[in-house]
Amino acid sequence: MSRTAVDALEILNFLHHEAHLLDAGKFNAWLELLTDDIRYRVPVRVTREREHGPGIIDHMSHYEEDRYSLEMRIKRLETEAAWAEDPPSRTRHFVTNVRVEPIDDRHVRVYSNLLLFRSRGDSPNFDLLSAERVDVLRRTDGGWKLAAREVVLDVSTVPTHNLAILF
Amino acid sequence: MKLEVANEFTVVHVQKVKTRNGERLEIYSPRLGYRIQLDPLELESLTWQTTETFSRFLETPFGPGAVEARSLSDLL
Amino acid sequence: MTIYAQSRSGGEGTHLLEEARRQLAVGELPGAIYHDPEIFELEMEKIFARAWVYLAHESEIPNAGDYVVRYIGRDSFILIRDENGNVRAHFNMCRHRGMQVCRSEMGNASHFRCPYHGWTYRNDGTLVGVPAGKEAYGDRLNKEAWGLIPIPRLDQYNGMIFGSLDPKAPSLDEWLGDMKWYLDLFTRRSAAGLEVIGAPHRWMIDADWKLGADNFVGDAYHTLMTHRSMVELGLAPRDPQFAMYGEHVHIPGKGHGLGMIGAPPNIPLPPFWGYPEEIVRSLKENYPSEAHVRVAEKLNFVHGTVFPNLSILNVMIGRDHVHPPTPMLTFRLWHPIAPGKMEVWSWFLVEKDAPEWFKEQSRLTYLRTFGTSGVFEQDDAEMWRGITRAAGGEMARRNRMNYQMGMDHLAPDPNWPGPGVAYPLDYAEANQRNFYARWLEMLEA
Repeated sequence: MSRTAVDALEILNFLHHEAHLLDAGKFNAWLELLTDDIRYRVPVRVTREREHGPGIIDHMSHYEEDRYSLEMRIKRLETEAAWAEDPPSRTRHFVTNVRVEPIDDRHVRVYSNLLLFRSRGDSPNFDLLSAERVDVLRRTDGGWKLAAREVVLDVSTVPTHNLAILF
Repeated sequence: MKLEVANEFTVVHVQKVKTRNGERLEIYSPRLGYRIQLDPLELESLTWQTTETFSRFLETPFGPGAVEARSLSDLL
Repeated sequence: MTIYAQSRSGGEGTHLLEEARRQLAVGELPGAIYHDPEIFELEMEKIFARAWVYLAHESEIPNAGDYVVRYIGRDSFILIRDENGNVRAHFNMCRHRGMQVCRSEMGNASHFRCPYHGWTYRNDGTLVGVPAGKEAYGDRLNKEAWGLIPIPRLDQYNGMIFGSLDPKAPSLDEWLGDMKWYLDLFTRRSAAGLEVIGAPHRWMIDADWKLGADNFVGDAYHTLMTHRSMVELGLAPRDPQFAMYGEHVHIPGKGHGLGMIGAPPNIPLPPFWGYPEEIVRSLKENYPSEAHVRVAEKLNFVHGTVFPNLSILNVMIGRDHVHPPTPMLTFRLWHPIAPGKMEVWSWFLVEKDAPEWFKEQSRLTYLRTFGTSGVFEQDDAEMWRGITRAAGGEMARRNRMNYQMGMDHLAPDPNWPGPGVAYPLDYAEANQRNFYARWLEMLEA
């Protein structure tokens, strides 16, 4: 296989593995897939006319995280008082429509569609969040790592009661 | 340089156009198909207009489009 | 409309509101008030169609033509600054066939053109044009009579814009009453005023709107349990009972209330919420009284609710477990959608003239702690959902909930320099009892 084909396969595996770790609650293992300078952002969107594009708000986000704040969120889940996710939500990350775009020797940009299923408690109701993710992956000695992620939600008003879950 | 100015009600394209001996500002409405080329003096005169002027312009919200109203039976 | 607790609940048929009034006198309320379709309808009619409800901060519409679409109850309004600089709110429904005139959440327009038939309004609400006016109306449509309907009442306090659907509502000034003294603490730290950064967070919670209002009006007590993870990680002071050390203040008869919390014993915290020196200097110059400065000097965590559904939080907390805490200010609206369902609107605000580095740190602190993904906020949502689910059944009508904290053993603080009734401990529920007394009074009016 060509180098590009190998990369593409590795990247697909990376996305699937990462989704598995999040759904399985293996958050510390997920943290190990991030670079130290990770930038993780989920911008607020508003409804705007077509000419003004996707309605992404530059200065307000649902998430705007660095390594410290993502670690804090994971450490919080390890306390005995993380009520929002204990008992945990049952989540499933469905990752599709993956496109890879080279940036330089060490980096690729990866676009993917995400459908995130969330169920809590014994209620049969569930929440669905749909989004496009734009990731930057970095090739390191320890394999591919996530260096940046922007998640563009397909909603303006968020239909779930909090974002205690990761994209 | 072509500029697009838009809000949720419409969109217009604005650009400077060169004439043989001078220049004008063209405003084009892609939705209605109207186009106007204004010279500096016309543009300047816009600067002292009030909103009422434009409200009068908008008495016909989709442009003049004056049609001679004829009944269908007339056409038969 | 009358509301009956059904006799199938075990007792004889009792009026749920009468029951609530009887219980509130002894510091109790029936659990069903948080999830009852008839109570909800009555709240729409008697509270949200009459109250002054928060719409926006003036900094969200700074320029001529800037607008945002906002709601009171089920009604949508275009809140706009017209070409003369006046702030107006038009009912967002065309006078011809009722289409929503604005469908974007925000924008800028000198005129609105309805997408259904093209009736066109100037941004002050005047109808200026109708397509084919000559053919369709013989040029005889009296445009002056067919402008967009203005909101019955619109007013602002220190840049906070409120509206009311009731033409006979008391003035906003009277509605806020002594709460204005406390609003000054947040809104008058600088002569430049506050600005909203970006757009509000908006999200849905399967929970009753009153639970948000109740939590912020006086519930310092939940911090030790609900937010224990934050105490453990050091985003809040490392004393689970830190929120007890404060003044519990309410405005009698109005429903408003706040908790004003300072440093817990043996945990030194900076004065003035830890605001940077530029803001501390400016608040000393701009506060309306010396008492404001004296009170603010001791403050680190303030929570409050303006009746019915606007809450304010001004606290110094951590943006992660590593960096020192930063002060931040948020306004949030518990917007009722349906029985047991609300939409939260949450804004981040900061002094316009604050240093840029501070604005950025404060913004990050807000969005990581009290935004949609906020590590404090998310645990509250879990509680309010659980309460609302439990409140929807038969037994909740019989569950007399306890609002008695501080009722018999806590005396008002005679030395408090601000207006209203103050208790020297924020572990109290006098604010909640005052909130529900106002709620009952409006429902029964």
